Amino acid sequence: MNLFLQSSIDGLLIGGVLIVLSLGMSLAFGVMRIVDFAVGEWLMLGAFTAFFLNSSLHIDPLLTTPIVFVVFALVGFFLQPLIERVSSGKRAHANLMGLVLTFGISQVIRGSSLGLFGKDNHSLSSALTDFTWFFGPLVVPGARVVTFACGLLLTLGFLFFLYRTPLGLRVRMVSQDKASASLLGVDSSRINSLVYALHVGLTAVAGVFIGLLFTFSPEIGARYALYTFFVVVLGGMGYLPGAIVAALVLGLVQSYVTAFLDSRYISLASFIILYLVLVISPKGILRRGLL
Amino acid sequence: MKYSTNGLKIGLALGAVALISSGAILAQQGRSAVFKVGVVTALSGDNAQGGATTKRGYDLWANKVNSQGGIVSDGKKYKVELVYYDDQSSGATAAAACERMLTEQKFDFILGPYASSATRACGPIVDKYKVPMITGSAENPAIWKDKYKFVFGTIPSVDIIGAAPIREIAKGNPKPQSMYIVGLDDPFAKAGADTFKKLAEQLGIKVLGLDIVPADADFTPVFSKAKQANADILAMATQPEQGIQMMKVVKQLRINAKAFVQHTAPGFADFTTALGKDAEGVIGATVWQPDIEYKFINAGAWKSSKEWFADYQKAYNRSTAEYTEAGCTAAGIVFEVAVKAAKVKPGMSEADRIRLVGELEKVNIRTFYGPISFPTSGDNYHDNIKLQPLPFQIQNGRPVIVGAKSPDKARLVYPTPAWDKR
Repeated sequence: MNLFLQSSIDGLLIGGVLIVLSLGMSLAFGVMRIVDFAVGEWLMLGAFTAFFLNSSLHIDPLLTTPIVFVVFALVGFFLQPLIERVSSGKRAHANLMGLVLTFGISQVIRGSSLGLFGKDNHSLSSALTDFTWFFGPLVVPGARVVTFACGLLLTLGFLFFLYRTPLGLRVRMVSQDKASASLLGVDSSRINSLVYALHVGLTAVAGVFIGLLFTFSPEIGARYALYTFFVVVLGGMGYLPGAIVAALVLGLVQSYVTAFLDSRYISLASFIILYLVLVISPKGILRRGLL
Repeated sequence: MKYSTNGLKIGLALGAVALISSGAILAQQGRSAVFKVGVVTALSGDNAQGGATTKRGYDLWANKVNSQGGIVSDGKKYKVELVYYDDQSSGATAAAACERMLTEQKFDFILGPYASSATRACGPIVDKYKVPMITGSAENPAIWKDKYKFVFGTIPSVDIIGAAPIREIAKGNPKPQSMYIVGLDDPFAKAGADTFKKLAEQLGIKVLGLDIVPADADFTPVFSKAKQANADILAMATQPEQGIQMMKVVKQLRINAKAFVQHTAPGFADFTTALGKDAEGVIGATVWQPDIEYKFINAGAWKSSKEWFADYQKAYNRSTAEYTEAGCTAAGIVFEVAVKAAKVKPGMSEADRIRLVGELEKVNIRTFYGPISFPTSGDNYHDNIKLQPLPFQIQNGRPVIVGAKSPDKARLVYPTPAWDKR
């Protein structure tokens, strides 16, 4: 019983980080219809930015998250028109072109980072997360609690923006029907830039959380990109509440399989679940995603 | 007039032929004046960091040899040229790279990969093309049990190295009674986990659990199990990146084992830089460190570890060197010695390469890295097992050899202080 409770805590807490990682990506797909292959690289760069801010300016890594968010949101904002230019208009297979472009961006970032940062592993350590709670035999690590809480706050803030602000309304309008939104005077290009900015900013912040919990090097991008794709697809492409549920499901599946089966079956179990969900409900776990 | 014109034409033609021929000879001489060495290692992917250690070791050797004019063979000096192929941290890609390397270009010999899986994948291919390969890294004992005629290694296998820390901890007071093992799901780490298990059983230490985990998993659930087992020794068979991650989780869960053991990861510089004070007390194993000095060195450009480490720091500006890096430099030295003995020249024929293997089997040298020779029978076929495995512990931010063989007479800190008492 203790192991079950501990596994549940572990799974839910890591799920919180996966939520932050996948929210932006899910929204970017919902609005721009682009699968961003560079998601893992934004995460990696976020972790490195926090690392350099910490080592050069001695800012606690957790406190660097607002800076990381703003910096990468700006990067995303100015990069998006390039992606839109390639992935829209009258080009043949425009979405495929966008996919190839983001894949290219990911390769350029990864290669440059290997040259700039080297191949060594790094880690972030925050004084604000250096505690552990004990509830009898159950252990709740501070780093996980804090990253989960930050992830939860970001998610709530993000959902508030999306569902309770005029700008969020415009984002949802573009997501649902770009042509109608344009007829109502919504500048869809500007909305696309804003959405991509939010996606890149949030993903980079998730990178800081990953750095606090694990290690990072220029090579980690692909690993986390896989998690992100899994969550976004399981949750239903472009459907945010679905991504939240899917992230928690992935966290719990990883945890239970490790505790009660064998962690070598994590990928197998995860993809069996994904397969079954997509067979039964192609719109994702909550049946509300895009087809 | 007619004759003279023809004579001129013939003369010009002969001159052209002579020029082309001499050019071709020169070009051939230019080509063959260099030993062309293929290197297959992980330049990208999960093992890129380990691959970088092999590259630093190999490059240091090649640069040194070339700065001294080259390898001496039959009274002449020949420079070396390293050509890298990326195995992308995959055994299958390593095999493909090895095959491509040996069919597309002509290499005199090969310096081997970082990972055991890649080395094992290359074994049948280098045997097929009869090109000798020395690896300065791979430690999976299965490589040597496969008995590839053309594959050699300068590092003893993990079943030899990995035993050192467990033997040292077993001398602790109070004697450890139990062990929990976590190993990564790769051939090297699984062999390490197996070593820990077998040795614990031999020493009367009860193994409470053994979990094999994929490298990209979240380790928290498995260490939650380990915490509940409450073993005296927490042994982790892992690669460098995951070694850091595991210790982060160990601290997050406040697992207070009496000893934390990892085999190779604590020897890497980034283990201590990434973990800071949380790396303190972790125990590892090595066969070489910059402060170990061997006497009667008779091979290679470096006459001491100190000398090698000075060159290493000058080239890479890194605070510490890991034994794989030294082992890779030593792999180059071994080739130098064998090439000299076999009196072969660049552009080796198959007969030359077979002769080179014969000389490699006769190698019995002492380098800055330690003694090197290759058994020609048994389970350690062609693996250098002359090096002595040594336990070390992270003390004051650096790996310090502990126990009877410690140059500083350092002792193992055991039991490791609890996390709230550090």
